[in-house]
Formats: sequence, C-alpha cells, structure tokens
Amino acid sequence: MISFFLAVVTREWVLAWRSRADLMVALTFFVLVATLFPFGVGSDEALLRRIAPGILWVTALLSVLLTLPRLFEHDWRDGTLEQLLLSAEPAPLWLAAKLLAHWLVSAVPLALLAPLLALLYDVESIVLVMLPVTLFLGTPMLTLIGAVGAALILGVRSGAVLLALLVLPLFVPVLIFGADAVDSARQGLPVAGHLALLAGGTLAAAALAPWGCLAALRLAVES
Amino acid sequence: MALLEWDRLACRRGQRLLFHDLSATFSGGEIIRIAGPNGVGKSTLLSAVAGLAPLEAGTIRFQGRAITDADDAWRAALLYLGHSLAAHELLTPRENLRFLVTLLGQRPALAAIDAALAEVGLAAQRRLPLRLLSAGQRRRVGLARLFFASERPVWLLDEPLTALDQSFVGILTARIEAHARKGGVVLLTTHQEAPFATPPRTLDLTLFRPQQERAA
Repeated sequence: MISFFLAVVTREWVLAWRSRADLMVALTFFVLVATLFPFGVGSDEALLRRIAPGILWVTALLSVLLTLPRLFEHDWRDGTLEQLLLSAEPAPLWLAAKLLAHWLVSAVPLALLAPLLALLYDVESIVLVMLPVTLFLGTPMLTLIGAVGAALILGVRSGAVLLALLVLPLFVPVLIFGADAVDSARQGLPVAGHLALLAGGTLAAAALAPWGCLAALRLAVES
Repeated sequence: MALLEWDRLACRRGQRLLFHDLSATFSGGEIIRIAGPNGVGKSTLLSAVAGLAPLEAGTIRFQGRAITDADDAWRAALLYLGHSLAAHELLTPRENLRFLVTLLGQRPALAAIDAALAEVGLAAQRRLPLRLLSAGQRRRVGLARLFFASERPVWLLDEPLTALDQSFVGILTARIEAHARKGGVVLLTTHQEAPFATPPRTLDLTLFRPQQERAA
C-alpha cells in the first residue's frame, strides 16, 4: 500500500519535473503580479504594508488556480484514469498521492517565495513569518477544492475558464482567513483562532473533497 | 461452470440505446471477438463490463456470482485495455510499464520489466521518452502489460491490434492464445483479421440492436 502510494507520488514528480515549464509559468505569474503592485500603488509605505497580505494571498491563490486544469487532464485523456479506477488499491489512496504531489510542487514554492516578495512591500518582520505559515495551512484547501473542480471540467470545452468560475467563490473563505491572519499578526492581535480555522478548513476539505472528486472522475470516465 | 455470464445486458450512450437483451456465457479457454460496425457499442460494452460505465440493464456474473458496483474481487480478476493504453508520452517505456504493472498490484524487478519490453521489441528504446517513439511502439508499451496479467482470468481488450505491424500482431495473438489455453477468457474487439490458430468465437453486436435501428 505504501509502495503504491510512493509509486504514484514518484510518477507525479517525474512528470512535474519533465514538464516543469508549466509549473514555472504559474510561479512566474506569482512573482510578476506581486511585483507589479508596488509599482502601481506608488511609494506610500504605510499603504503598501497594509495591502501586502491581501495582495500576496490573492496572487498565490490565482497561481494555484493556474495549475489546476492540468491536474487530471492528461490522465483522463490517455486512459491512465481508467487504469487507476480499476486498480485493486483504494481510490482515495492514489488520489491522495496525486494531490499531495501536486500540492508540493505547485503550492509549497509559493509559500517559500512569498516572504521574499513581501520585502517589496516593506512589511513588518512578523509578516515574513506569518505569510508562509498561513499559506502552508491554507493552500492544501485550495488544492483539494480545486481538485473537485478540475475533475468536473474534464471533457468540457474552455474548461479552464469554467474551473475558475466554479472554484473561485469557494476560495473566498480561505482567502479571508488567510489574509486576515497575516493582517492581524501585523497589528499585534492574536492569530491562533485564524490559524485553527485554516487548519480545520483544510482537514474538513481533506475529508470531504476526495469523495466529490472521485465521483466526478468516475463520471468523466463513463462518457 | 461458465466463468463469465452476461444476462440480458443493455447499454445506453446519451439518449441512444446501443444494444439490449445481450446474453452470453463464456467458459475458460475461449477467445471471443466482439464484432460490429463503428458505433455499435463495442467499446461501451467492454468498459461497462469492466465496471467503468453503467449498464442500462442486466447482470454480469463472474464464477456464478453477480458482480456489484466497486467489486474488488471482479477488478482483481480483470485486465482491461482501453482504446488509450495509459502510457504517458513524457515517461520512458520502462517507467510507464513499471507504473502500469504496479497498478496491477505487482512489484516486479526491473529485470522483469526489461524482459517484457524486450519481448515486445522495445529493448533498445526502453530509456527513451515515449514522445520519441512511433504510434505502434507506444501501443506496444501498453500491451506489454499483458505479460504480467496471466493471473487475471478475464481479459477485455479494446482494439488491441490497432497500429501494429504484422510480426507484432503475431506475437500478440500468440500471447492471447496462451492465456486462453491456461483457462482464461479473452474478449476483444478488432476490425482487422487476427491470425489466430483457430478462428475466435464471434459475438455480433448488431444482432442486439434495438428493433427500429436494425431495419435501418
């Protein structure tokens, strides 16, 4: 069972590495957009500090969204999805392996880069800590919710646009708690509640999203 | 006892009923060719039998027991090769085959993988990404899985002979016949003549079309 899990993770990583240009696009998008804002807003340091958490969270969220359409697309087209569904291993196992591998290559780099970009906004040092912490806690929820959307759009023309319409409203709570946690920390307010909510949301998504995702994948294979 | 029984199967695709009242029994050692023109529902039938698509009606029995949704025992008894062979173009034949065999629940040594690739004529290409190989060579990678599936009694092969050269068609039919000799059931679809030693039993799907379409 563990070796099967690792086999799926390894395959995803090898594929991610060999098509790394795709991931670089999303990462470059994050860096560029986050860099553009200080130029646009001007040198009002107080304002920049205030908007930094929200802007970095929104750009990270959009960068995650960019990587989602390809999550199942290839597996669905080349028949791998059929073979995964027919394998004797429990379906949540390979799905978890796929999503974990995807999160590690698509979201973790964002969390690691975010503090560097935050320097452009002249932020307080607590923000440099809180940004990666909240992104680590919150982005798994984005990947999980996004996976349901990515499974639903299989076989749909202009699916990427539809995916954005489907999942962006669901990303709103994650954004609110993520950005607000960073902002509260900036003002010296307690953040334990925010972090607990982010972690709780991620756990709830981990419990619920795979079932929706698998149901959508089965539907995609049927047609 | 029949290994596999179909009792009044019917399949629908969208609004259209493809076939109905399809009953048949298959015993170990049989090779069955599912015949009929394009669009008659051959692929739909195979994927429904595999449990990937819903049946409109009917029951499938394996070793006398009706199979259910998400039937682990049935999935473990079955090898399904869809029209797409589940090989990724960015992976090498070796990586692809290793993953596909893992999905069969096995953990073969690299030597066994390489031996199977040599068997399908890809010994020299085993480290090249699939995108550098020809269409026929890519299909060989997916078909190499057959060399690891002798423990699975029921093989469902959708167009296994497409895009293959004559010599490999020979290798493949020999592999299929060997599986049948060992007591397996092989159901396949093909539009080309396969050089089986004895002609396979043919199941003509057009006979099970809905009445109004049969006249047309």
